[in-house]
Amino acid sequence: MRDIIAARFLLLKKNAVSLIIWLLAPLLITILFLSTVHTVQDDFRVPVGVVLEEETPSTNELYEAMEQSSFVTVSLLSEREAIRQVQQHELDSAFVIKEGYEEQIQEGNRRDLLESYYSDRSFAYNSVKEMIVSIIQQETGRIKAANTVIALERELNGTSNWTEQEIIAKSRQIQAEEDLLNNEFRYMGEAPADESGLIEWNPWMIWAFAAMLFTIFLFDWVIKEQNASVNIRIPFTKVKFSVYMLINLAFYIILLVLVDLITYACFYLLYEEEVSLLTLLSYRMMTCILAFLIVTIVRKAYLSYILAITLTITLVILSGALLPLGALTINSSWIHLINPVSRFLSGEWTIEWLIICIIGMGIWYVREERKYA
Amino acid sequence: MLKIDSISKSFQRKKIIDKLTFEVNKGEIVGLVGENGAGKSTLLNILATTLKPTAGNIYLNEWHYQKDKKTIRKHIGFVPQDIAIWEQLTVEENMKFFEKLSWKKKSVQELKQICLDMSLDRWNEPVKNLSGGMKRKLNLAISLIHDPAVLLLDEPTVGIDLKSRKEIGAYLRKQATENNRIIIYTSHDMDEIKELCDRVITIGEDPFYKELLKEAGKKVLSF
Repeated sequence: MRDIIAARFLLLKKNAVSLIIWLLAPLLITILFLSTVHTVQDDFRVPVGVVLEEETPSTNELYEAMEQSSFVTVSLLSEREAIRQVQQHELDSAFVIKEGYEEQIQEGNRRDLLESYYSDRSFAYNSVKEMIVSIIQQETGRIKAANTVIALERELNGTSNWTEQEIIAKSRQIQAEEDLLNNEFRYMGEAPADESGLIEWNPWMIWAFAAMLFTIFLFDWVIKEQNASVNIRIPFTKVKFSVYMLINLAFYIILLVLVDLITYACFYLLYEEEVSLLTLLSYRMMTCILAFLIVTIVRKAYLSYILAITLTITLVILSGALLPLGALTINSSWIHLINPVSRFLSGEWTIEWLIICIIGMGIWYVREERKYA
Repeated sequence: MLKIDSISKSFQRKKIIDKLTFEVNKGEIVGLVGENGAGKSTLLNILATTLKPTAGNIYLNEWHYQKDKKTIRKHIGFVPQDIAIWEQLTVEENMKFFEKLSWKKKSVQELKQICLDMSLDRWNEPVKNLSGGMKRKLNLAISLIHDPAVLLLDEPTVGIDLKSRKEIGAYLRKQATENNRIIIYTSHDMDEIKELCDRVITIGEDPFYKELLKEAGKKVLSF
């Protein structure tokens, strides 16, 4: 075994750069893809400036609520700077939260709370203004409701002694738990479905597609060595061709698992995303054996590349990453069963695929033994 | 001693080799000649254990070809007609690669010596930069790493210059006499056959080769 690995190193030494590129390709592509997506998303957000004349819990809440919106990018600025940036069209518009905001909100007064600056090119000004107004209305509504509850308690001689802040917190909790606009019905014990109907850009999902594609690309060594003229020498060496191939396959699996551990660490550090290491190992083994079987069957490099791209596109579609298949991908258990990426992302072992691949390897081994007998 | 006892080989219904019997002693060089398609390469592949004869038996010393195939293969060096080396590796790396997979361990110095013995001195040169003659020499050198008792060569000098051809011929003669190897090889070059071989086996029905060799005073066995 050691001799076969040493022989493999002699061959790999000549292709070290391309090998490293292929090994790291899924990790690099995932990082590149996600950073591109984030940049594009940021570019499509409306840049808005906010000036806080006072810093109170209410002004901070308003600012945070604006920041959480996926449609605007909020910058905290001085009034002078905000005006300058609006004038130079760096900002779509700017909003000054005026001094006394907290007090006026407590009094239920919604007039003259904000001042705004915009230009003739502020195409999103009205939409942003409406968004801010709706946040303020929601906030004043809560405070009004809290004051009504406190007044009623006093009137009816209640004993709960709830503070205004407690009532506001409770109203937020009820809103989150009993949101009638997004009610979902399902059978008892069934896992809740993804509310959006779309799978989010999870780095492990992108990686899983790229890993499938590049593993098949990487395994073109099998085609090259199956068709190599040196094969004629194998019967006169101490190793059987099948054993030579199996040990090399194991070597590649170990190599890829090591790279996967680097990927695991990178994704954890960059995106705080984790998967089970056992799931990752089973997915990696499955992709390697599947790639090995595909290339041994097709025996031509260009066919294996076409097959790799087709298989990856199929998985992307089945996972609902390219087209929002909604109910089809989420509710069909058979699609989940046949889709190794979906199994991997839900933290399950791709055991059926692994068994099929191992059976395939058994058939390949018997055929090779007969051929070289 | 290599003993071929009445072997036949048919592909589908066509008989390629019919009841071929001969013996080759240690240190002997035997040439196989015949027109294209006569069955030279088929016979060589049978002797290399990569093809099974339809009938008959072959023995190498006390070992039977079918029953002791694994042992037999340890003692066979096969030089294929197509150059079977890694083009992207250097001469050294090629020798090391096949040494790793070989039955016998050899030091780098020993591997280098095999190459130097046949005037292949461009040890660190990538194979893709070598001439046809140099590649042929390396093709032969790799087959000798495990010190085989029987060396089977399928047109080992095809397409190379006269100087390299002579060097390979001289090396083969040395291998037969000094290391007592049995050497069987096919070639279309009758001058080479006449000069190098102790005996010649003509295969096929065409009397052309037989007559040519008899004129040269060679001991000819025809099938």
